[in-house]
Amino acid sequence: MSVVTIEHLTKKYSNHRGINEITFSIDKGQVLGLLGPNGSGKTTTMKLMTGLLKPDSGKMDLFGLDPLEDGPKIMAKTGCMIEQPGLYHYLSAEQNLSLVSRLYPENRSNRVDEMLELFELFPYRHEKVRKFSMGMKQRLGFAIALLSEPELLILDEPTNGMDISGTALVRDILKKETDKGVTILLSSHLAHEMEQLCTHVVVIEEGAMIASESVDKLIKEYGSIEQYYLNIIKKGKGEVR
Amino acid sequence: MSLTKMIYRCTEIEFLKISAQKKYRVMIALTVLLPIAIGLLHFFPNSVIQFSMGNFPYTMLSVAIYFLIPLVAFMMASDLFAGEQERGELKIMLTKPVNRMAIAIGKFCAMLVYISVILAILLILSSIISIATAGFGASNLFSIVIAYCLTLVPAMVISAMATLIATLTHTSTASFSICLLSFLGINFLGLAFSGIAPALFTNYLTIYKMVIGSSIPIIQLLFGIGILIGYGLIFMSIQINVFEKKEC
Repeated sequence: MSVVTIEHLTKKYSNHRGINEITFSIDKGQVLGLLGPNGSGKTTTMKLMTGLLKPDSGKMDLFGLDPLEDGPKIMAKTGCMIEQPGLYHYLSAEQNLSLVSRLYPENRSNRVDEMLELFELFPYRHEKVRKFSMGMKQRLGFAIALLSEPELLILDEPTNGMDISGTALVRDILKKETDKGVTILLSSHLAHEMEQLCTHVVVIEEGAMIASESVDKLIKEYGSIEQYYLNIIKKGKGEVR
Repeated sequence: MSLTKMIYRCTEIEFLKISAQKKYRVMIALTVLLPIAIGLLHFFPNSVIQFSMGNFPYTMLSVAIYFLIPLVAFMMASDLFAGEQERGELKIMLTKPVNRMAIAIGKFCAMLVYISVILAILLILSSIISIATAGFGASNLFSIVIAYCLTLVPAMVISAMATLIATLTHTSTASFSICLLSFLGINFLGLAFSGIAPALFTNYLTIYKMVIGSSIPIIQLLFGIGILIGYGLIFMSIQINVFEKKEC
C-alpha cells in the first residue's frame, strides 16, 4: 500500500530552476532516498510534500490525502526536517520540544524527556539552542520530527553537519524506526549513506528524475550506489528505468 | 483539533515565545519606567512638557497610541512573521498539524495580549502617580479604564496593518521600516488633506477622548469604532489570505 504517491510534480522558480515532472511512490515501511547533487530539486520536492511550497502542476497523495487540502491531517502523521532544522534559537532544547508538543492534537509533552535522552541531548536540555553546535541542532531537529511518533518521516540531509558518532546515532535511530514500520523519505548527496539506510533510490538531476531503482537490485548490478549514480549520470539525463 | 482550539494553542505558543525573548521583557521594563520618567518631568521647574497630573493617565494613553503601541506592534509583527521566515523558524509551525489561518490569528492574538499588558501597566502606574500627586478626586477612574479598554480597538488596527506588511515582506528590517513609513504616511495624509481624514483609521487613534467628557457622542463614537473595525477586518482578511498562500 502506497503511503506517498507523487505524479508529474512540477514547480518552477522565477530563476527557472525547480523540479519538472517528478513521479515516484513510497510503500509503507519503505525507505526511499532522493539522491542528487546540491540544487537538483530534492529540497523542493520535500517542501512541496509538506505544503511549504505550492506546485505548478502534478498530483500529490500522502495517506490518501492531498497536502494542499488536508495539510494538518497529513502533518499529524508526518515528522519532517527540511533544510536546516527549524528551531527557536532563543529557547532551550527542552523548551523547543515542549512548545512543539503542544501543536499536536494529543499533547506529546510526555515524550520530551524521552527524545532528549534518545538524541543524547538530556545534559544540555536547559541550554539555549543558539549555543548548540551544528550537529546538536541537527539532532534536536530530528528529535522534533520524531516527537509525535510519525508514520512518515521526511528528512532532508539528516546527517548534515554531524560528527561520526552523531551520524551513527541517527542511522541507528532511523533503522529502529524502519523496524517499527515507519515510512521514510530522505535526501542526501552521500551515496554510501543511502546504501546503509535506503530500500529504494530516486536520482534527481537538475530538477528532473533520471532514475529509480531498488537498492538491492542496483547493488547486485553495479556493486554500489555510487557506481550506479555515476553510471546513470554518464548515460545522460532523461533515461528513467 | 477544532479551529478554536488551534487558535488557542497557537496564541499560547506565540505568547510563550514572546515572553521568552529578552527584547520583549526589556520593553515591559521600559513601559514601567516610562510613566515614572514622564511623571518626574512634571516636577522639574521650566520643564518643556507641561500637563496636569489629574489628566496624567490620558497623557500616557496619547503617548501609548501614537508612539509606544505602533512601535511594539511593528516590532512584534516584523519579528513574528518576516523575521521568523528570515530565520527559518516559520516552517516549524507550518509543518505541524495546525492550519495557517490558526497560526496567523494566533500570532495576532498574542500581539494583542502583549499590547494589553503594556496598556494595563500604563493604566495602573499612571493612575497611581495621578492619585498620589493630584489626589483621588482629580480624575474619574471609571472613565480612565474605559478609555484604556477602548484604545485596544485602534491598537488592533495598527497591529493588523503591521501583520499584513510583515507577511508581504521577507526581512524583519524591511517590514519594520515599511510599517513605520506607512504609519507616518497615513498620519501625514490625514493632516495634509483634511477632507479624507475621516476615512483614515489614524483619525480615530484617540477615539478614547470621546468617552472622557461629561456627555458621550454615541453616534460619532460608534462611527469611529465602525471605521476602525472595518479597517481591522480588511487588513486581517488580506493578511490571512496572503499568509495561506505564502511559500517558505
